[in-house]
Formats: sequence, structure tokens, C-alpha cells
Amino acid sequence: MLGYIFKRVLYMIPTLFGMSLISFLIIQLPPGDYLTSMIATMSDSGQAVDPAEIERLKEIYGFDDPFYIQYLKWIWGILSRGDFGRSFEWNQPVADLIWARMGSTLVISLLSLLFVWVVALPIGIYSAVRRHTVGDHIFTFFGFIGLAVPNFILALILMYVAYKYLGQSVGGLNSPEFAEAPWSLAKVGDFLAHLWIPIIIIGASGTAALIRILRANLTDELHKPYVITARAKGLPEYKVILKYPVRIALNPFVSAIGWVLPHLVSGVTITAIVLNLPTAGPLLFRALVSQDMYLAGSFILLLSALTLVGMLLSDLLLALLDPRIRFN
Amino acid sequence: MIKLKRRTFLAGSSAALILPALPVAAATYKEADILKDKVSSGALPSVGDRLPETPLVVKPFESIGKYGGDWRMALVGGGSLSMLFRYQAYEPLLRYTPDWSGVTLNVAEAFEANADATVYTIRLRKGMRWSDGHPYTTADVKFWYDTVLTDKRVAVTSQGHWKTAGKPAKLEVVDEQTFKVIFEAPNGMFPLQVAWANNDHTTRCPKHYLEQFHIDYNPKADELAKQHGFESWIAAFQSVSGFQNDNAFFLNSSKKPCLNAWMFTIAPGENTERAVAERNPYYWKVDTEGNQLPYMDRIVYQMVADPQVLLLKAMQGEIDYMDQYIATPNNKSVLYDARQQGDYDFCTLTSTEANVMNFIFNLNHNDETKRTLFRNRNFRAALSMALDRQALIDAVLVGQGAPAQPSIKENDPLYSEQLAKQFTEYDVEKANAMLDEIIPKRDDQNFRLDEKGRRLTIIFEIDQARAIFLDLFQLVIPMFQAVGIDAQMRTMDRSLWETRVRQGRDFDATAHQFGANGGIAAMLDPRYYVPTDSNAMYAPAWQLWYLDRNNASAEEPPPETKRQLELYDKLKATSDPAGQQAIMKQILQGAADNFYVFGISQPPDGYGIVKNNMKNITRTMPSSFGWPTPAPTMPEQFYKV
Repeated sequence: MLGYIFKRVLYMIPTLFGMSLISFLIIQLPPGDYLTSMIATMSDSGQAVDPAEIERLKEIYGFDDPFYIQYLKWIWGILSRGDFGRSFEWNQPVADLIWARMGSTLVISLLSLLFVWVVALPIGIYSAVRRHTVGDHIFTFFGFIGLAVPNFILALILMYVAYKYLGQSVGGLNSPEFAEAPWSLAKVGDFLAHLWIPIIIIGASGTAALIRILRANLTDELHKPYVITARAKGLPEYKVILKYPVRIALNPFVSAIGWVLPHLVSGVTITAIVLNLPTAGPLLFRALVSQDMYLAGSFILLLSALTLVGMLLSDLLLALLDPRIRFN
Repeated sequence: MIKLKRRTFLAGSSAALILPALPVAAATYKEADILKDKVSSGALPSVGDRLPETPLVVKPFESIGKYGGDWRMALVGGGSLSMLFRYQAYEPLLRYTPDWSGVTLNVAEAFEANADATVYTIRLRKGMRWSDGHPYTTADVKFWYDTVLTDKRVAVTSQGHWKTAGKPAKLEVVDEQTFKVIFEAPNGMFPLQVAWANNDHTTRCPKHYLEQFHIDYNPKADELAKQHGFESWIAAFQSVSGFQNDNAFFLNSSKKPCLNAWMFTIAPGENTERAVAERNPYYWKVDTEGNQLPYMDRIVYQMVADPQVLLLKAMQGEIDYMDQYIATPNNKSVLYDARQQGDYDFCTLTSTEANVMNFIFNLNHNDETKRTLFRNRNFRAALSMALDRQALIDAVLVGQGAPAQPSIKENDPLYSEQLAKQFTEYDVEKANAMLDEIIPKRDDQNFRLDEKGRRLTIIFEIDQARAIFLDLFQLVIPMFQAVGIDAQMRTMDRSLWETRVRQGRDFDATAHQFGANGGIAAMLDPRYYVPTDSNAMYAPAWQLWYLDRNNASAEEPPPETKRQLELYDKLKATSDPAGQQAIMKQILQGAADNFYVFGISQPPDGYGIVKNNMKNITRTMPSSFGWPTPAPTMPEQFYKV
């Protein structure tokens, strides 16, 4: 087992390198660079840009260097001093920017993940066990709506409801009057009052998908001979279902954990933009739009690393959960 | 000779005014309560000591205000900090008058030119201080001149208005308050350009703060730079001084002293959700009763990622003033309905743009056949007449506007009917007849063929973010097809568009907006009338020739354009407004004759929202970046009841 983990971690190193190279390349692929987008903004506000100035700026920012030199500079900074470079747009170290947003990102993501599991697991099991009952149809109906409606539309609708009927300050995680206040009971209350919208929205499609998957998997399992045997041997119904079929039906979740980690960071970008959440997604989005390459590159690298770690975790969990899986 | 002192009296009476010094005795100066507390605790000197000997006296627009309150604003996205010139950072030596008819004194106490506009003598206010209490003197101007304008190592900015004949002006410091700017050749536009939104650096370069980052002033600047995470002192100096671009200037700038009414305590970048600027205790303006400005305590900016969120916030009444991002024609009805709930009302922003959309053909096309064709004035005229402008206005602009070419607006003294109205009539037959003379041959699908026998396909390359252009082009393309032109629209991402269109020569045509429709603005930004800078996308090679004759990609323009450019040089050298106007008229006549670009309609006026408890805000003002709406109406005298 330990050997297996060690081998897996070892494999991750070249993979990460490849990913960093590819992500850096992808950021460089679209025409133009941070300067082009900066000039675009400048000329939008009515300023003329002198071509000589552009050349000078290119030199200053180091855009004159060929691709591999830029990459090597960046990756060497990371390896030698943990320096992910500076964001052009924010004029701050990339690491500071990302960390500043990690707290709220994790709170929101973990809470919505919790929301998804708490809601989806019981409903999924119920739907599978009581297939084609009224309850199942109702849940299925809402499940399909949750799957079909894009998150950001749901976000706009809920925000409008909050604005129109609840008189709440929309967007962000705090009302303006609390934004600068130190943490207090009132501020926590205000924070919680803002939290339900993002959690429902971010959770909605995940919940729906999970219900569907669980229902389908469990339905397959419920008619297998070992379930019938268990029942025939007089095991109580809850034990029959929870102990064996549900455990097997959970496999797809666990193998999907690999995707959950990066998803936590960047999964709900559009929703976060619409809701004006101070999470990492909108930052990544802006970095891509403005071709702020070190910020975007570091983000993608971080996401790749999280994916790899998540994959490892899910493989290990899978092995724990399902003894049929072997290491090789 | 510019007599600015006289003009201050003449400047329109409908808005907040700057008055020549009133006999306000120093003892009677009053200040905000927050500052009183600090004075009594000894943290600040008394208000009389903080103000210059002759503070600028501002006559409030409606009434003397009262102190206090937050001005609640918002910024969208990360890339728009030049907006801050509009709200809190417009303090050049001279500022534009509220009606944009001229300039008036601001930081400068006197600003005088000699007869041929080669020498400007500028006097600063004695006893004026930066926001940290350090005196603001000619030493700061000299520092800027030495380290930013003329230092080749850090030179990051062109500052065209400080140059004549390609050479920077000389700076002569007379005493602590007086300096002279000496130009090689006449530079009559200098005062007008100094007042342009973000042009003037001389009031934004605090020597006592920035010198620590410059190697000539601090031998240890390199180590300091490394501490701050920069590679060298050059990078650090560029970044901290921030003159390379507007974003850099404001980012993380809370430690940098300023002359503005409010100074950042949380600057953009230091926090990605909010920025806060608090009153500058050393602000150098008072109202007519001797109250030190600004009236409002703080400006609080929420950083919003998406305009839709800002729209909801405005409707909820969380925004005190907003004319950007959300003030679009589409949103007007939504905002109108929510006026009561949000407790705000509209203000009118008069349009200053040349046209809603300009059709720009690449007159320097790399393809010779197309280049010759596009340069044919009759070809462009025929296409202009193929447009049913009224239909476009009715369908896309919700009926607001009147057919016009990119031009000067009608009530402006520079108005030219020929420029505004030529070839705006919708006449397909005439257009076809004109095209038949130039490119008579057609193919089996009835499309015209060019000289080389290829189907004449014109691809309009459009930035996909400009929704209104896309709507207009849906209707425009069939109109061009009706006269046998295979017009196509290709939308693309902005950065590709910048590369292909603004920096390339291979595009056929594009469409763009902006430019100016009157007065001073048209003289400073004549992009659609004469190709003087990179915004003149119809003539990339000619504008380059004007800027830099030795550039490898530059091309000598035809004589009629050259004559216009010579006139523009002459305009820049002229200092009296009447003379400027006479020359500008000639340039505009040249624009009418050359007919470089054509458009659809004069842009309709825009709007902004103003919270009902905000006072002293002018309800009608120009909308522009150069006249950074609403800064020339002096936000320091805004107040809340």
C-alpha cells in the first residue's frame, strides 16, 4: 500500500511539469498579450497609445523574450523561491492574490459540497428504493430542473427575489454596512443571510446530478441476487440497502472526488461573477481575459495539482470502500 | 497670451465655479469635525496652517454644503482604474471649465504664456501641501521632469504635450513656486492638453516619497526594490510612480501622497473587494464661506465583477452616482421603474462622440487592388448612400438619433453641414450608378468584381463585445449586398481585433466609435477628421508617418492629408481660441473633402443616476473621458443631506 502511494506521488511530478508547460503554452496561444488588452482598455477610455511606447512596455514586461525563456523564468522562480511571479493587472505577487481569496472560496465550496451530499444522498436512495412513486416523480422533476437550468440564470433569479421581496443587499457576502466592521454576531448573521443564495445555486446542479447517478446505480444493484439473498436471510431492510448496494452505488462518487477539488476552486466561476462572490473563480476569469499570464498560469498549475491530489485520494478511498479493487 | 484669470470669470454660470481669491481671512477657515478632533489631539496642525496662503475658492453649484457622509460608488472588473480620474483624482495644474468651453486655474495659481506660446510661466500656490503634509513645490515638478519625462532608464511615457518638434520642453525653476516651461516651437494647445483627464503628471509626482525608489536619489534603491519583490529599482520606480498606465498609478497606492480631495486608505489591489478613500486634511480648496473642502468624508468603492450586480445595487439605492457600466439604453427603463425604490433620479450626459458607429475602410491595405479601390472617395460615398440610416436608427437605436456622418454637432461653432450631412441620403440607384463607374463587372450571383476579376468581398472585422455594432451590421450587410458588394461581418475577441486591426494592415474594414463632436474635444482628439494617432484606424500608415517619419511601416500620406496634418501642427502652435477655431475649421473642411470614414447617426445623449440626497451635482454635463465626467464639476463640493 505504502509503496503504491509512493509510486503514485512519484508519477505526479513529471505529470505536473507537463501540465505547467501546457498551461503556460495555452495562455500564450491567443493573439496578443497583457499589453494588448491593457492598450484596449486604454484606448476605450479615449487615450491614444504611441507605438514606441508599446515597444518600450514590451521590453519592460519581458514580452520580448521567446516563449521558452518566459516559461523557464517563471518555473525557476517557483522552484527556487516559491515565487509564482507578479500579476500585471493587480501589480501584486500572484501567491498573495490567490491566498487572499482561498478562505472564502473554501468556506463556500465546502458548505455547498456538504449541502449537495446532505440533500442528494437521502433523496437518491429514496428515489431508487421507491421508484415510480409520487415522491420519486416529484424529486425527479426538480432534479431535471436543477440539471437543466444554468446556474447563473438561477443566480440572477434568486438575486432578484432577494432584492424584490427580502430587501436584501445582493451580491457579495456582506452588506455594505458590515463590509468594514470587525467580526461580530450581527456580522455573522448578515454573512449567513447572504450565504444561502450561493450555496443553493452552486449546489443545485450538483445535487440533481448526484440524485440521478445514485438512483441509476442503486436501481441496478437492488435487483442483483445478493440483495435478494440478504433479504431472504432476514436482514432488516435498512441494513440490506445501506450495507451493500448503497456502498457499491457510491463508487462513482468516490472516483469523482478527483474532480471535486479543482471544482471547489474554479468550478462555479460564472455564478461567482454574477453573485459577486469574493472567490477565486472570478479572479481566474479576469486573469484569462486580460491575459495576465503569471496569475492565470499559476491558477491552472494549482488546479492541475489539485486534480492530481484528488485523483490519488479518490483511488485510495475507492480501494478502502471496495475490496474488489486491487493495486497494480 | 492666455488670460486665464479673466476666463475664470467668464466660465459658465450654471455650475460650480472657481473664483479668484476671496477676502477670506485665514482665521475664519472652517474644517470637518473629524479633523477638529485630530487638531485638538495634536495629530494635525490647525486648518490655517494646512491650507496654502491662497487656497482655491470654489463657489458651490447650489448651496454651501455640510460635512460628512460617504460617497458610495462602484468599479466593475479589475481593469478600469482610469475611472478614478472621474471621481477623485482630477487635479491638474489647469482644469476644464464645467461646460468644457475652456480651462481654468486649479493647482496652478497663475499660468501665463508669452506671445508666441513658446514659454509658459506657471506659479504654484505657496504653502500648498501633499496629503501627508509635505510641501508641494517646484522641486516636485523638477523631480518629475528629471526622473519620469527625461530619464531614459525609466522613460515609460510619451507626454506628447511636453514636446514640440519631437523634443521635450526645457524646465526652468525660478523659485519654490514658479517654474517656466520652454518649448522649442510654439505650443498653443499646451494649456488645453494639461487639463485633459490623465495628462498632467506634474501634480502627481511626490518627490519626497518617490525618491527612495530612484537610484540617483537613494543609492540603496536596488535593495529596497528587492525587498518589495521587484527585480531592480527601475521596475520598482515604474511600478510605484505608476506613470506607465492608469491602472498602475492607482494600484496599491495608499502610501503615495496626493493632492486629491480624498486619498486612498485602502487602494484598489490592496483589497480586491473594496477601495476606500478618506478626506485629505491638507486639501487646498475652500468654499465661499471658508469651509475647507471636500464636504464628504469618504468615497467607498465596491468592486463588482459583473455589471448586472451593479445594476441591482443601483436599484436598491446602494450607489450614489453612476454613469458608467450600467447607464446603457437597454437598462434605462429598468432603472426608470426603480427610481422610487432606489431613491435616485437621472442626470443627462450630453454626448461628445462623433458618431454611433463609424465605417472604417483600411486605406493602407496590403492588397493593392483593394487599397486603390478603398481610397476612391466615390466608392466610399456610394457605400454611404447605400445605407438606410433611418431604418437603422429606428430598429437598433430605438429611434433616438438623426442620420449623420461622424461630425461636429449642430450647435457647435465648428459645425459644418457638408461634413455632417454629405452622402447621408438613402439612394440605392445613385449608389449603384456610382459603383458602376468604378467596378462595373459582376459575377453570376450579381456581386461586383474588382479590377483583378475577384469577387469584391469586404470583411468587416468587429470586436465581439460591441453588441450594438453586431445589431447594426445584421441590417447593414443586406444594404451593402443590394449594391452588389459582398460585405461580411467577422466578429472576434478584443485582443485578436487589436492585433489584426489596430496593429495590422491586412484587414479590409472595421467599425468603431468614440472620437469627438465639438469644440476643444475635437481639437484634442480629431481621430475621424485627420489621422494624427493610432485611433485613426482608416490610415494606420499615415498616422505613423505623422508620429514618426522614420518608422519602417510609415507611409507618406497624399498631399491633401499632408496639408491637413500641417494644419494640425499649426493648430497645436496656436494659442488664441479664435485662431485655433479658424484652423480647426480648415481641418474639418479637409475632412469633409477627403471623406475618410462614414457613419450612421449622431449619438443620442446618455444618462447617469444620482441619488436624491446628493446635492451640488450638475444635472446636465458632457460625457467624456478627456473631460472626466463628472470631475470638472468638482465632486469635492458634492454633499449629502
